[in-house]
Amino acid sequence: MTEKTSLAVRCLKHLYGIDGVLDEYKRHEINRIGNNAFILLTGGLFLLDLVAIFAAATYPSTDVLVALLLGLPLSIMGVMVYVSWMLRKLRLDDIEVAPADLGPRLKRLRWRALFVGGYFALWMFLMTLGMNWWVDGVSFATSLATLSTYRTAGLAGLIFGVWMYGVWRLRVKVIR
Amino acid sequence: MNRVKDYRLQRGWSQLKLATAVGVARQTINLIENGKYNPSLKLCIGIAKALGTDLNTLFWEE
Repeated sequence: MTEKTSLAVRCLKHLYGIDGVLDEYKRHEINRIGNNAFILLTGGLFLLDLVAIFAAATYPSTDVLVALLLGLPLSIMGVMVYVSWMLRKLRLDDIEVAPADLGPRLKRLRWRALFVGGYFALWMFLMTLGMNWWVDGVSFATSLATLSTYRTAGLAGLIFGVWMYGVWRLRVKVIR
Repeated sequence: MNRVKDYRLQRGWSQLKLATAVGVARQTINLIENGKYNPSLKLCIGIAKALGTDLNTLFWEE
């Protein structure tokens, strides 16, 4: 009998890129990594705010605001790098397959890469439309009629899809 | 060190087969066999049952 996986477990597995069973060892490790990431992020943001308060006395407030706005995504990126590094170090994101299942599994990964590549291309396309309108004042109709909008989005999707396939392929481990 | 590996090999089971029987990842069985992870009591009982033995035999160190 197959145990039904709860939504929370599915979200956790998706977030941390865990393949297969989320057992007690993996759950313990991702809890530890998640706690460390939370401490790092809150500590980093607290430090950033503190620096901003002192910097506001010397530098123009707009510069401080820009630095704060840049600091937030950079802090999140830093935490994401830490999480990815720990997952790789502990091999929690390994995709273990039996030799007989390697072919079908790689095929599934290729389809998945195609899907995420397409999703990324769509996202880039909408972002380009939005940015063209917001920054340069170009209308949606003009952007839609421009070939470079499609080319840029398609290229970005292709690179992202190939990159993701490469990342997943490196995680595949054949178990004998 | 525990005797999980000995009993698993006695049965002719792979780590993957034991992991599937117990409902954990193969990696977890590997870590337990190498003494790098201390499993919960629930998992210890699961492994003992799957291997047809008891906790003392598998995990008790003299």
